[in-house]
Amino acid sequence: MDKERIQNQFLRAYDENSDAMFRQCFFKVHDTEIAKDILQETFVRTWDYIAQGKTILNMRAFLYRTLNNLVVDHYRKKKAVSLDALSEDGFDPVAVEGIDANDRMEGEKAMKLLDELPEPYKEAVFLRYVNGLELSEIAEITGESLNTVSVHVHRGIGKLKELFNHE
Amino acid sequence: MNEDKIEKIIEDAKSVKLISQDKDSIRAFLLNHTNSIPFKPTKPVVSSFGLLHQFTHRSVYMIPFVVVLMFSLGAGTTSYLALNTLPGDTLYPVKLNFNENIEYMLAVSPEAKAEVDLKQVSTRLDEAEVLSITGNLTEVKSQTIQNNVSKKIISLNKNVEQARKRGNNEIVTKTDDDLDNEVVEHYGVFVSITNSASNSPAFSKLLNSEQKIKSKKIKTLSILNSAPILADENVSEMAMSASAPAKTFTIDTLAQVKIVTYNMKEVRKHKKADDCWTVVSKSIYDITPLIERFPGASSFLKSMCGVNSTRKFNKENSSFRITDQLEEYKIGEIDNTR
Repeated sequence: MDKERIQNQFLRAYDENSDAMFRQCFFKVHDTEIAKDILQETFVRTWDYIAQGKTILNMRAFLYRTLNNLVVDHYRKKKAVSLDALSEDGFDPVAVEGIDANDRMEGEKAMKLLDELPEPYKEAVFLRYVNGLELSEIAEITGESLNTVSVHVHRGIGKLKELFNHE
Repeated sequence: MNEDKIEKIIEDAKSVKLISQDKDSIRAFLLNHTNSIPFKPTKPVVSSFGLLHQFTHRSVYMIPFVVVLMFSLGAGTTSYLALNTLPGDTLYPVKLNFNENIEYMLAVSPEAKAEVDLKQVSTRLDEAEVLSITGNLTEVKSQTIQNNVSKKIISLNKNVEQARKRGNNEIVTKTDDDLDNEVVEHYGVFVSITNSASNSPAFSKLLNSEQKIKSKKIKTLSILNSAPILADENVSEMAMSASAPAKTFTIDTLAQVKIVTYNMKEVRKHKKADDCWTVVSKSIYDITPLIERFPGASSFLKSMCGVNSTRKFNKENSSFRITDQLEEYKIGEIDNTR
């Protein structure tokens, strides 16, 4: 396949998935700027992988796996830096610029509620219902079996109902 | 009502997205990046096909090659398709007897085998839960799952014992904890399949031996609250009764769910060394594992298969030191009115 064709496919993957992936990332790091950086880095690394002549069978699953790995890396690095030092440097973890203002309030409130779900249900529900991934794709991303993912999604919705009942 | 709220939450969460300016700037950056780094085209597959062609072109290799290729592709595809099957599916036996056996064979040490056993117990309980969610957890399927879980637990116990003999004493505690966690994790469905009317003898044995082995409490209120909630009425009742503040559940509670009874006619069917039940003082024991464990006493134990051995056992057991172990193998009680 020629470069131009692959490049177009890659950019189409960005157009189709960037919003959902940003949402996924924001859901995990709670910071718009960091979420944007991780999103960009995810696509950069994916292109670097493709440019080495390697083949990706399921682009969306590959992108989400890369994103998840980068989020984990981010948290590993973050542990080494104290929150006080970050605040002194002007770091504000609730800064929300970068998200459409109209969607900000309701969207964040919804995310906070979803965030109350315990893992692994949280991720399963988010990927399935908010980002619209297929169960098989979630299984590929999380490395769980399809049956386990079905169980997690179902339980997650059950727990969400419980959260409302307790409110 | 709740469904509407959940739908709204999900719709609201979906509204979080990049502003178009940021989206465009990242896109521009990526376009620049894709143009700036060297690109190595994907290797054409033709070369390997060429080799394949040269090989198959020689007719002497052709037939065996095609047979092997078809078998490999067939077995591989079937095996892959079987990965996510459930009890009752056509390919489920492939998953159980082929995929999982291979996984087990690839584990070399007893520790690794024990880990595979535990993973497969978890898979069985996941399957039960999916069946329960979809309303397909029938009596027959419950029984199948019970039997399969029991087999894995027996294998797990053997592997743990072997690992312990090799000096790994930690594995006993670890496996105990891991197994407890699996039960807690799948609490709802575990109770569901335990309540199955045709409770499998092997599964009862599992519960009874768990009862014997574990003295610690495995369920606190907090854990129960995070356990699954299924539609099954029995499960809901148990979960509700567990919500009283200081109440804790032990595995004993699960074991008390059902006492299995059999008549002598049923016991007599299990008279072989590899399937040996016996009756001692109105209790029924599956002593098959004991025959393997105590080769010196095997002829005595074999003579107990399929019969009421109360008198014989009371007369001779002291020399074999198996009295204490016997309780672990209790699978039910005798009821000749059945």
